[in-house]
Amino acid sequence: MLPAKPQQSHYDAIIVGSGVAGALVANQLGSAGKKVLILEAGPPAPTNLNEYMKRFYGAWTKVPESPYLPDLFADPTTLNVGRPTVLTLTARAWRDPKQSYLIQKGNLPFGSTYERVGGGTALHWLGTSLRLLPNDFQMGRIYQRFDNWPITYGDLEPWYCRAECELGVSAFSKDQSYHGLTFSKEYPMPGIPRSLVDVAVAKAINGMTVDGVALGDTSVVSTPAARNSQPYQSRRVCAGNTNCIPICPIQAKYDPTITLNAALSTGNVEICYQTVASRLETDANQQVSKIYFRQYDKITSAPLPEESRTATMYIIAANAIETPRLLLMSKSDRTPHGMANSSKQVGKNLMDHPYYVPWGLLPESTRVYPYRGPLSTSGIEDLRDGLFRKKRAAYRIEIGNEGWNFAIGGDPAITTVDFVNGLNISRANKDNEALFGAKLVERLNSIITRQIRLGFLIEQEPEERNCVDVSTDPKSVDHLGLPRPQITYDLSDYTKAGLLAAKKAADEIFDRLGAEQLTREPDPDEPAALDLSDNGKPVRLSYLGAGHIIGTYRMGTDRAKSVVNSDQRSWDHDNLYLIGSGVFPTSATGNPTLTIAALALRTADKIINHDLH
Amino acid sequence: MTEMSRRTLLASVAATAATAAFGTITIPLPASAEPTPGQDLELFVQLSAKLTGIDARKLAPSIDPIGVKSEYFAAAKKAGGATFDSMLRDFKASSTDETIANFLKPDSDTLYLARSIILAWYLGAWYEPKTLKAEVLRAPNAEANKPSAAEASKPSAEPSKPSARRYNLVRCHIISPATYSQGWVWRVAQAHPMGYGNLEFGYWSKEPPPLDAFIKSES
Amino acid sequence: MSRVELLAVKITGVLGIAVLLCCAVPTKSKVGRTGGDDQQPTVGFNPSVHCPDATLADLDKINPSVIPGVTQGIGGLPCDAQAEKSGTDLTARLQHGFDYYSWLTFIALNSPAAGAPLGKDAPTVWEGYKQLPDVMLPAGMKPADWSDPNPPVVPHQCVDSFKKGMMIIHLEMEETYNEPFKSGALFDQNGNYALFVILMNRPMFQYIVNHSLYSRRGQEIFPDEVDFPNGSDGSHKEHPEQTVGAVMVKASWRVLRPGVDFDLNNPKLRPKFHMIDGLLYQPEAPEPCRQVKLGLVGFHVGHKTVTRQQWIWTTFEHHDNVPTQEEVDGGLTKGRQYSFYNPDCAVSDCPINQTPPWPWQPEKLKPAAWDPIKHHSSPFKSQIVRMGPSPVFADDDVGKLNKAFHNRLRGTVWENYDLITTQWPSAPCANNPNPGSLPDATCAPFPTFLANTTLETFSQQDKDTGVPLATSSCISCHNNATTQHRPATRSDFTFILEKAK
Repeated sequence: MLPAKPQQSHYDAIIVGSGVAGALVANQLGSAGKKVLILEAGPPAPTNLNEYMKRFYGAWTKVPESPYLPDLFADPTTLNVGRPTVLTLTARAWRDPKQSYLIQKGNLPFGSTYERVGGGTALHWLGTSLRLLPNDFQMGRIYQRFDNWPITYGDLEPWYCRAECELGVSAFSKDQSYHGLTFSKEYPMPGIPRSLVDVAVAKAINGMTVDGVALGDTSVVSTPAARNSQPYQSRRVCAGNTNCIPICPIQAKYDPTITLNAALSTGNVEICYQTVASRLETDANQQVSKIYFRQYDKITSAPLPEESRTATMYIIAANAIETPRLLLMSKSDRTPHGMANSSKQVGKNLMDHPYYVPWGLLPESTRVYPYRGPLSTSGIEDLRDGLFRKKRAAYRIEIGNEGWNFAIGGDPAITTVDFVNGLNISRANKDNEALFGAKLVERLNSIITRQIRLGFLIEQEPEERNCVDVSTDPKSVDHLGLPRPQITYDLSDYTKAGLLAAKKAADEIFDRLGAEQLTREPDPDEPAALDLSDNGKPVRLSYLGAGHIIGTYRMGTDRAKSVVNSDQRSWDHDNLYLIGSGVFPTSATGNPTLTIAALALRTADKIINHDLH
Repeated sequence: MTEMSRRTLLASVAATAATAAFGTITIPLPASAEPTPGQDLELFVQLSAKLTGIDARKLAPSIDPIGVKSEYFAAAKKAGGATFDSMLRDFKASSTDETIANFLKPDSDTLYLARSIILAWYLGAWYEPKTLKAEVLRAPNAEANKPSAAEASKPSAEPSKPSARRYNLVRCHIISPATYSQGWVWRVAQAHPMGYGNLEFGYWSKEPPPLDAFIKSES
Repeated sequence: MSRVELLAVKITGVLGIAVLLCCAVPTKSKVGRTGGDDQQPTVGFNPSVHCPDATLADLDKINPSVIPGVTQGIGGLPCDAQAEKSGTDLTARLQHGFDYYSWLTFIALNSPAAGAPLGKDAPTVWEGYKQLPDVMLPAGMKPADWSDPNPPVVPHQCVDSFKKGMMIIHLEMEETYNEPFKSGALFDQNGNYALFVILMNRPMFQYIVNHSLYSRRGQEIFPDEVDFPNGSDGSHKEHPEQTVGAVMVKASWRVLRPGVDFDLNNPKLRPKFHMIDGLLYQPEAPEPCRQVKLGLVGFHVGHKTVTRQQWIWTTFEHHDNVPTQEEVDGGLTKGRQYSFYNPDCAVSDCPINQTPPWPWQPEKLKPAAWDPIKHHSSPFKSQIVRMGPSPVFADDDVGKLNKAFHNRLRGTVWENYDLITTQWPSAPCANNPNPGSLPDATCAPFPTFLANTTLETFSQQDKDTGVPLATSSCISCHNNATTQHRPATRSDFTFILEKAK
């Protein structure tokens, strides 16, 4: 269907991207009476969830992208709007531009993916809404590692409260007061109850010490989540459908379409879907003067001719790969290195949270009944900070409630096929037994109820060599003819040391659980694999992307070394804001979305009271 | 679309054609596979109960709003043809445990079809019998893949290492959203299909009902 | 077949389910399961009158005075549904029984509050129930006691414009014009909102008052599981009482313009809708209280009974609401006038089942304010098509049932209302008083999906089939309803409790 065209020629603000950051700013501005245009590359969020749920239920592999468009296995060159997907991270696909949307040129694959649809990538987020820790903002000062953020935890704290109300976060502040966190307001909803998996882990880690940090059974903490524990925002309470990623069937989990709809309800916000921002232009005063875009009808049809619109303020909220891509596509005489890039830092310092996921089988005496409740209800936050951060990356531990579903890529189907067909893909069927009838019931019940997995999210060191650029290969374009993002990615020794420490902690936790660890050593050709050394002993492990794309237009105090200031405003262009996790100078160990939201609300406030006053 | 009376609606609720989902193959219901009401379908349910270990009246209650039995019957008939017919015939003649054991003998030509039927009920997905057979043959301990004595004696040989797979999931297609929501493996695990539950806030803090509550019929 | 089979459908043996429903209301109030919650007004009612042993074929021969709901009016509820004598399909027979019961419910609830038989349009029994905003008051204040009928709480701005018998339509509540979970507003072909009201009967109201559930604070300190009173027809030995149980109603209205949409003096424009006097209350509007004529377009009833702990859900629609996809495809819509569909607008100009362009709030509509009286309407007119099963086809079970009841109601506005279907929990666990303890609390709702095109307009199924949890299903969705207790507890299949302040 042909997309609607922007109705006006000039707006108070044009926002690129309708994900969590863009939607929040649009809603704030629209509520303050400002006229806003959102340009969204992808299709609209549908009227109801029928289409998404049907696609999800029917997908034989239920990856995060499975409910959404476009088709998972299309050649990205044929798509007007492509995006990276997890299934193209295999050895055969990750460097093939006909399969992988991202042109990956680095040593290691960048493992995180995103969506380009109305509502953005947070359609399939887990909902984890952690605040970053006070020390996360001050790594340079405290640990002599990395740069300090140009704001402190105290500066951001009131905005965290605002963000928690906007998203609807469930937690008790008394449970979250570790590592110096303070709360000026209680969370809007009570915490999500813990699962039986959480209880088992808490018991097991009692008395464990990691790098001088003592863990107790209170170390397993309920994870603050944008997931209703009360009726909130006219949405239902979580019913434990165990499907947060990729989609909550009852919208108990917050997703940005909620804020997007609120923004549209102000009557001051217009959104154009299937509208891809292609470049920005400046005037002689280095003000952004125009934004160009291309619209398309179908994902593979010929795009419409380029058009442009103007605004008083421009806000790019297109995630930390598509935003630098847009800036770097905006090279001109006035902006020879691309828009907002006199520091030459645009695209640099790409980070993720390398994600280590071990899994195992608990002993017969420990049934934890996974596949129940949200995908994760608790984590271990004690190891996110400490003196060890001078030497190695910190990490957060996430406890999984979904058995081996994520860990082995599709359980319980894999284990079921194993025990019916006499295979051992899950490695839980060592004797390749093929069962049926009551024996099959008993065996599957025994195994599945004892499945457990953990997740370790490692802080990644910011390095300039890890970067996003635009591909110069004429074959690596999308169907609009725009150059696709080119990624160079690797992990530093600091980060790898964190991964190694995580693995050792995992091994000890599984030991204490009495579990048989089944974490598999990666295949020889696995691209996302690391060969580490633990005091001379070789350790080979694989990592995943956590879905966190961070750092590529960092905020700072020095315009020579950063892209935006602490308000997320471009140093080079007064009327340009770049928002989202691309501004984070460091990745810390907390999931980024709540911080994205807090910063977005803070920026919106600035725009309303200062720029558009 | 032909006029639908409520009666045909009730029957056809169960006979809904497989939903086309991207990355999957649709099984349209051929006219000849239209589920025969009554005997054959009930026979299939009884056979399935023996194969799956779940009570027949749980697989197919007397009042069956969703009615996945017809979808599985159609899939089995399409894939199995004469083999499927002979299974039903043999089971009708003798519905003993021995008959079932014969169906599942390693050399039996019903082996993989029987397994497909079990997996259909457990996962709401159709695994082609030939896919299941190919998987067995490529498995490291399969006769066809066993290294020779000379090879096995080499120190570097690792016969137990699984061959590199692209994905751990064996190729299948979900028959329909309804069949996914009715998969039995989740109930056998005392849980619910991911993405489909009819439970209440906080249930995950408590132990689930016992296994029998999930798989045994109420009298 | 023996007479026994023709009485209350009672399936013993394998299933042990009884299709039941409440029957004769006793002259003295009876104590129900929850103790004193379901006091009935005394009405001349003979508890020994049973439903006729009627089947569909016999319906034409029934004397209307014998159907209790028709003659008794207030408090009456239909007695047990009858399954068809013939027909081998158990599910079809049970469905028919529930559908028959739904029609009798419709008649009983829409009977005149004053006690006459259903016929000439008059204020109904259910309009005397308590409306949601009169129970969930600001600051969690205790609602006024039940009286018969219940006058609404009149906002102070409306004291002069309010007349007895008016239904106050609370436009300051988003639920009045925005469908559940903010799924969309619905505009008729005049550009006026469909307006939604939620009401509860006396036993349900009394339970809320007795347990102080009308305030958030009251719910926070309520230690038990919410368990609304059960209806019972007295035919089970464990439940010998005959009592109505909890009934909740959700209705949708259209604004009707006198002289244009109906004219009492013009036989060509005689009313085709059940009509009431409504008072639109919109505190932000220049005129906060405006009198309008409203016509009933959609009617939901939820009824809790001892053997159906997931409640029994039925829905009716006005015949002229929308076409089905088959009617559209078959060119059968030409020349017809629908409330929510324009047959002359092509699909490319009027894509179907789309939500209106934002914003939807009345104070935000362009032109500046929505005013159905001064005809400042929304420029948007909803183009709605029914996607699910339809009552339209004459030889369908529901079609036949509708035709038979319409024959009894010929010449009244009530012949224009169609039963869509009845959703009921079909698994044996439906009589378990603790659905939350079950592996699946919904106990196999049949049919799986159900939507009223005026109340669940935008979560209807797609053309082919419904999608679990995404497509509208009364029981599945209401199963997710909770209280405001911390932690959230089940609210017994109603979203009413979460509206307490």
